[in-house]
Amino acid sequence: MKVSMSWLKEFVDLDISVEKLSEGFTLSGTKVESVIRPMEGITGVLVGKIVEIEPHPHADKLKICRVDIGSEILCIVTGAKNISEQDVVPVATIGANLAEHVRIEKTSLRGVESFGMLCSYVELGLQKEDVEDADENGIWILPTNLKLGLTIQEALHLTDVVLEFEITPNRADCLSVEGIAREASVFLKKAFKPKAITYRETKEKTADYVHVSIQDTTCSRYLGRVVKNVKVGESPLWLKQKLKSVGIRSINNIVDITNYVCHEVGQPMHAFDLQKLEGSEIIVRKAKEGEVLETLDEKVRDLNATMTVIADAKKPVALAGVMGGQATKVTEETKTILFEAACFNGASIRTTAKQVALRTDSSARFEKGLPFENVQAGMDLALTLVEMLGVGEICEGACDVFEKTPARREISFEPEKINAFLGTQISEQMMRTMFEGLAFQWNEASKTLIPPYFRRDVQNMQDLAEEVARCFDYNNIEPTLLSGKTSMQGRRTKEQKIAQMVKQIMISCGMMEAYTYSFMSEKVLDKLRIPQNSVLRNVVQIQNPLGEDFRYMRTTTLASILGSLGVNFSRRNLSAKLFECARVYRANEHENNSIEEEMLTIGMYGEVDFYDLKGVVETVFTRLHIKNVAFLPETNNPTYHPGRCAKVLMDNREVGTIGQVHPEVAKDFSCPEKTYLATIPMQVFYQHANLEQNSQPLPKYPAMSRDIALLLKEDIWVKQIETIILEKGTEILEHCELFDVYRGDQVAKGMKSVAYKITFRSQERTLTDEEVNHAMNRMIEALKMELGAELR
Amino acid sequence: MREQLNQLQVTVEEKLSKITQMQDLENLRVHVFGKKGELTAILRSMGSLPADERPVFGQMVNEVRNKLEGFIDRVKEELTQKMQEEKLKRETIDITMPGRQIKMGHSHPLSIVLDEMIETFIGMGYTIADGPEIETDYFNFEALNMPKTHPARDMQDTFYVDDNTVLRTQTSPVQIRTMQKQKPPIRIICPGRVYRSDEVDATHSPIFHQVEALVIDKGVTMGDLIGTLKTFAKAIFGDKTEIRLRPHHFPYTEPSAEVDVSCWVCGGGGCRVCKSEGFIEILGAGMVHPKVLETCGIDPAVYSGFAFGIGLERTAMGRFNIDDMRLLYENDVRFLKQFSFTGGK
Repeated sequence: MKVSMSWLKEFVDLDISVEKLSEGFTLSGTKVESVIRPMEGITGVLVGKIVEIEPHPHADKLKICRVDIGSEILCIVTGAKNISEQDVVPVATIGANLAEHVRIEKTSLRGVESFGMLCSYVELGLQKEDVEDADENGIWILPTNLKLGLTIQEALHLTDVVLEFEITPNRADCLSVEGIAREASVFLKKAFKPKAITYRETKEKTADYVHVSIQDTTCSRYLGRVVKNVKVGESPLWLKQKLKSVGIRSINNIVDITNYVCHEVGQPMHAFDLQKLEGSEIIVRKAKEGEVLETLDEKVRDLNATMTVIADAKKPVALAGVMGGQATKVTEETKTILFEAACFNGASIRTTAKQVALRTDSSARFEKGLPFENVQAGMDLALTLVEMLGVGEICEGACDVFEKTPARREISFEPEKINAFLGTQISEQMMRTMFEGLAFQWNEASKTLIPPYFRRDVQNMQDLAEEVARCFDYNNIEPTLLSGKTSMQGRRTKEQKIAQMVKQIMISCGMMEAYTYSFMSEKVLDKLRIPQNSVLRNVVQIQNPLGEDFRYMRTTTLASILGSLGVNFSRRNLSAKLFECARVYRANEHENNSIEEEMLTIGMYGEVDFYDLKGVVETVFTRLHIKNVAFLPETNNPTYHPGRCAKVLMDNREVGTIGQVHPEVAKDFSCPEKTYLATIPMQVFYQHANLEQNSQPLPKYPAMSRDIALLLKEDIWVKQIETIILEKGTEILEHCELFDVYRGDQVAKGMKSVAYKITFRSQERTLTDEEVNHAMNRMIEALKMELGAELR
Repeated sequence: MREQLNQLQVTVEEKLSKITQMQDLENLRVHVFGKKGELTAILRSMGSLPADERPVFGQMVNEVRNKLEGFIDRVKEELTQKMQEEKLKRETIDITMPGRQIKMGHSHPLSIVLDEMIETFIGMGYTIADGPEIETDYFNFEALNMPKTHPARDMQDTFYVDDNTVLRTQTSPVQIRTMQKQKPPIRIICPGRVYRSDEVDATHSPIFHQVEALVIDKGVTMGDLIGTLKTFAKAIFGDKTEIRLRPHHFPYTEPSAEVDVSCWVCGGGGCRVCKSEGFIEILGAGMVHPKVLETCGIDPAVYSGFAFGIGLERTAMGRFNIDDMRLLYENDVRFLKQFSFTGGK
């Protein structure tokens, strides 16, 4: 919403700076988004007329112009092509300041002295929309009726500062100059000066020209007035300028009046060419299926039975509250017009505007809910303007159709409740004064406040409190700390603590935390080689995605992390170790809803291998005291390398996957061939983490260790060896640790040497060599028998 | 023999003064005190003295012996110390060579800011609540006083899954879910991912994070809201931070406010970051709307409360001087490495 300072001043006296005024608006809730100062910093540019053009004696492309700037004739050399004698143009005189900090000085061009410069609108800091039909490369040719020697700002009335406001949806009343001015009058504590409404009526009656009926409940009031002997034509300059200052283009005087009213009092208006209305009739009704209407933007709209239209006896002539129809619009030939001011249901207008994808100044106001009473204010102003411009004769009376005048809301005024709610001690008298300033009426008998008709947003005690707080200034409310009889303990839940621990463990392991988008395209499932029948294909689809890549909610985080690894690799980062704790989303077809699951995802490349990844995963389990974790070879997961992938098992149930990414997948995500990934649902940690920590006494007796090296066939897993060691080690076995695996010249082909340090300890006594030897022998015998191991 | 003893003392003292090596000292000790040593020889020869002279001479020998032993021990100590010094000198290393750092990982800047917020709120007695991101229209809009045709819905460009299901545009539905299952008093924060249909650019992202706070109790005032906001702003943006409230409109709060904090770069004087305003808009806040309380089965005549919400991305970008939101989601390790695992302001 744009309002110029001069327009504002018609309603309220302003004697403070624009900056102070803006701050006042912003702190009272009408936020000033920007202050527009047209041609700020442009000085010394005058209106001049080119009286003579002659060629430059030494340059074909230059011309010498004699330019009349009222007080003198200047000699200016220019290279412009679009000028001719008698043109009126902006002339930058010596010392003038132009846009982009350009300063004009006396120069000599190819031996001819030049005393200024002819300007384009761009050089004056203007935009295309500020000027009509001007060439941005050429000199700006001005209207010929401008007075020579005036500054360009004076001549074009471009001295007015314009404020642009952000209006919140509850304040439809502030989508008008009047509304904004009322706000200013409140915080400046100055009187609001309503505009005088005066117009004369002819003897002829509106009712004789047109009949209005409402057949649709979404229209609560329709006010029509007829103006005859209309002289449609150009609007006077002041009107054009005023509209232009707030970004509205002048069409003709009648349309300009409707737009002016809409902007000044916030009531959308429409003018019909009455003679083009068939049957001299206006019917507000729902459109019929199959009806069409060509709107003023020359587009033919298909209508349906949810839309409200203004129709004549035969056809729709306007899309109610949105836009008028092309067939009945006011043209230069129009002799009699019907002004419409109506009140429509906001939700209905909003739905219609959405259906036809057309948001107009009119619909934007209606959809916020305009008051019944505004209709009259709008019509009165329109007729006053008709009178003022002398463009027609106003017929007596109105066709004012409505069922009933809505009752005004009365809100009980309890200052102590307001103070208790705000935490303030504002006196009743002070509050009463505030409401008076806000144009609320006071009902002494019932101790109630009646909001003015344009404040439909004020409905209850909390709304009254907001008005009080606004007038008091929110920032004057004393900050207090919460008090409460119930003590509130702030803490993380067990799950939240575990989540925090998982992240901390990851970071301690050298992993960097990633954040990725939760969207994916279906393509990435193919790139991950996910089978067609996989549950990961049960996607939640977004109806209005921003693009193909954002069409689905991700069912897997693998693509997200691979994507980030790919970014790193393509940017030549030698290594990357990422993790993310974030959700995946699956459609649950049976319940017709969706499932969200939080996953820990780890991805890495660089100087790492499978065991670095596994180590990180194992560290998480170890630090969370989770036992019963096992890793089982997984050869069938198409996303992974068949020989370097494992299922993560918890109590023999599959809970996650770790492995080297299949080289094809890695390639498709622009990752290096050796890229490693793991995913485990956070739920696994939440369910199995053991946060209890009990200290154990330190051992009293020394440990004894033995190292063994075993020669084994290559295809024997170390897990098999460890199972036997643990089984045969007897109760004195404390620990076994793999410390070397060797393949090479010293062992036969197809064989490997595996070395363990095995530690024994008793809690009751110092062990003897015999005991330990006995346990070692049992173990070695079993390893030989069951795995064909040999001692090295 | 006395002469011999005196001579020995003089010789030993002389030799001692020249000794630089531990081995020489040891040799000297053996030469004097060893089985074949000179002093031992003198002691042995004591037998040839008359019995009455022996005690006197014996005493003399012992005195010399103690004296010499004392000399030798002192020199030994000196030598030991000297050797120690030389050893330490030899062991001098180039301490300017780099240490072996443990390569720890890094928290994401969004997590750093989120953790700070969580700690601040936990300290004020809040717990953390959570809810689905794929949310029903009811929880995301209707229960928050935004029926289907409400114009405020235009303020948020929504992703729809179907007519009744959206990607939540705010974490407020978690507040509704909490109020519907928990009796007041309530003090929660709801951090999480939210979605708006904005194209990706330097300051927009279709996915971002919010942290919302909700308090419901008897007698909660707008002063309490402002006091809480002040505490929070100082915890996150530094002790000198001031806040400024501007009246605004949200359908789910009344009164509503937009909250600015004094610029973290210039402190309020005006600079490029705050566009010369001295303040930066960072929060939306307000007293919970009575209709919202009613929807959740809480009597607005008995209870009142406040809610506020802050964008995590914006806060992190401000705190860490990040000028492009896309950096937060690319996960370039060169970017992530710049952050530690915790913050502090």
